[in-house]
Amino acid sequence: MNTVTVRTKLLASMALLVLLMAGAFFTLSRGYLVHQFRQYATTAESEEASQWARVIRFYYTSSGNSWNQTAPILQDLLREQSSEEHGDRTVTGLGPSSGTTKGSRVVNNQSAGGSGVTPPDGSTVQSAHSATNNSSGDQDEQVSRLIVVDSNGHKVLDVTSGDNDAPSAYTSVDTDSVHMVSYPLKIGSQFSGTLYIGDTGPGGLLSMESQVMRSMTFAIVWGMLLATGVALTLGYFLSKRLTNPLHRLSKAILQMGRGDWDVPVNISGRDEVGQLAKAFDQMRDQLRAGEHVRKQLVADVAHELRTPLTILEGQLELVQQGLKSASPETFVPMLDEVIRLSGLVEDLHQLSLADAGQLTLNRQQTDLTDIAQRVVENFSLEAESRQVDLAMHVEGSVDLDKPVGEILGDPHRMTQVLVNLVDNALTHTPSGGSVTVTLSSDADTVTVAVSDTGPGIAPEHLPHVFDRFYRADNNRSRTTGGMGLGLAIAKGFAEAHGGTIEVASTVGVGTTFTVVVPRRPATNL
Amino acid sequence: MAQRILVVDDEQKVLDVIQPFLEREGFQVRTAVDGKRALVLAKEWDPDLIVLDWMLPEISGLDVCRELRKDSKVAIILLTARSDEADRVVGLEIGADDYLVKPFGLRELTARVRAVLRRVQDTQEEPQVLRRGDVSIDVERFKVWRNDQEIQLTPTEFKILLTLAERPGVIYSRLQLSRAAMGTDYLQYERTVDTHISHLRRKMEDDPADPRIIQTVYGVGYRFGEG
Repeated sequence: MNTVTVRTKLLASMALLVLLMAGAFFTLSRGYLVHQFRQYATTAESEEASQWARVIRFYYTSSGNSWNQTAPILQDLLREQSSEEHGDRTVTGLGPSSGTTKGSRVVNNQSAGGSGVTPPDGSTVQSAHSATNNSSGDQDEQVSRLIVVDSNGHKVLDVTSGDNDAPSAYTSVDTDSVHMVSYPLKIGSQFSGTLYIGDTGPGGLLSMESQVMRSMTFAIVWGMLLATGVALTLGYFLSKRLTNPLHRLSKAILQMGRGDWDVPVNISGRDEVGQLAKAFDQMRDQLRAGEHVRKQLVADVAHELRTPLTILEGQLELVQQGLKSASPETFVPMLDEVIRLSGLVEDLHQLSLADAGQLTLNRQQTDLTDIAQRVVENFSLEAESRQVDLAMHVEGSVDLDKPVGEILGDPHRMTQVLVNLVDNALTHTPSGGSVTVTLSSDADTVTVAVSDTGPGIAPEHLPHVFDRFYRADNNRSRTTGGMGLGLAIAKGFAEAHGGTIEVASTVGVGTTFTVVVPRRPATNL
Repeated sequence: MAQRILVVDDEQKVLDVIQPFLEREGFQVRTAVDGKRALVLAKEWDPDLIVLDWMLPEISGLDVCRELRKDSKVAIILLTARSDEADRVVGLEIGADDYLVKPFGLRELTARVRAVLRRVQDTQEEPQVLRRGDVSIDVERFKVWRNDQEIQLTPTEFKILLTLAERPGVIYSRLQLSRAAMGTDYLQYERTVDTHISHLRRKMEDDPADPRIIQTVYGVGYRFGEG
């Protein structure tokens, strides 16, 4: 069998979940980090640019508004900064004049000790790399080039920190070849244009960023592998715990299908699987009981049918073989057997209707007292021949407006109930005993009790007396009782009326069957 | 001397049909309707065989059987209304010699009674041979002769012939013959009896087109011709 087991599915879904979560975490955190980096870089750059703008403004004004005189100063400044950066990254003062201001003011960035550019007005220039110095030791970002373009688009200033050949490569402001930051430059009314600041290249922040990404990816991949491993191990044991009972259960079900009812499932626990096992056990018990009843029923029906058939066949054979004449009286007992068989078939039919809840009741005003009286009269000869005292009592009604036994019910079915009960009582009462039918009622119900002074029913048989074909005496015989269907039918008919039937018995004293029927059917029907 | 058979069944009507039949077969028959009486009769009357119903009031047939087996080797045939395999096994295990499931035919009961008696009593009676005119049937060895000439028959043909020959003149239906020859499993093949009959006639009759030995009763069945 090539089936995908629950275990495989569980493990696969766990692994998939880990991968999915890792992927989502990676993508989200990466996007967030890049965003943060960009934002930080932009802020740092614009801050640096405004710092440089102030420096340029200062030198431009102090050199008499001449770009030509400003350029060398700025050139020196760039170079100096460049060399200092390489010498000491953390504490670097940048003054407008390298000689006078260098080291005069050291501004420490509180969050990360970084270099500051301190123009004369006292503000602090924080280079973008100040924040990164601590985390990254390699290439720093530095300002490598300064370009000023006036409002007409003419380049008025272009200085670089490196060799002097480099500027010649830039014939125009080319922001694509290097990373350039633009910043509006306005110096009083004398000048208005744009300042471009070039970084040393693609390193700096960008390399920082990629490095952080790299380590993050590394950490996530390893974390993911570890988490997957843990998840799979955990999942393995979990699924084993989960599927083992299921395996046992399916084995038990298969065995049950083969007719082996005694398969222990042995699953405890209150989780769903435990409940399933419990439900299975209950179902099996019910099925087993049902199977037992069914087998018993089939055997009993067969038994009840076989004996009359044997008799019929024997009698007919006697006629065929000439041992009996084919006179009318020969056929009378055969007819009896046929009637008995028909009655059995009819009884079984009624019972199955009652079982299926399809019994049709022909309800009408019926007085159970009349019915009981008639039944008792019909049985009086039988009782006499058995030397059993058959009597009837009617107890006064609480509600005097109504006859004691009046109900809205099917007289035919109720007669059947009483006939079966009285018949049962008579057959179980030895001669000299008595059978008493007692009627009583209250406003809503009528109660008929049939008591006998028979041998009683043992407690272990009591719950089964209404089962069809059930006989307390396992060796059934026709001298004690009919076919074992009477009480089952009485119960079915009483219940069809919305009533109940109960039995109470004391061994050696007697048995009482009590039928309680409501005066009218439940109104909600 | 006639062999004695005690028949025990709680249903008097069953006894009423079994008793005359077995008596006609030459047995001496007494009956009992319950286990207690059966045990008493078994002791006092000392029958050769007991036909015992399984379901009896008070003392069940099984218990009677067990009780009898304590000090008796009397032949016992159990009657049961149950065909469950387990029941049969139990019946045979506690000492019944055979069992018969209701409903059964009286012919079958007689045949079983004879078979069990032969087997149990181990009496080497003269081989039972039925003689009907010029037809002789050896019941034991499944052999048939006509005018001292042996006729080869299949088992089914033999059983049909035997059933008919046992009671010359009695008309048997196809169903009855079918059950006698092939058991209840083949009842739906009622008409195959006709085929077997025509084979029998071809082997036995002088003129199969005008049969004298096995006669057809139109619309009813067949009978063995009397003389």
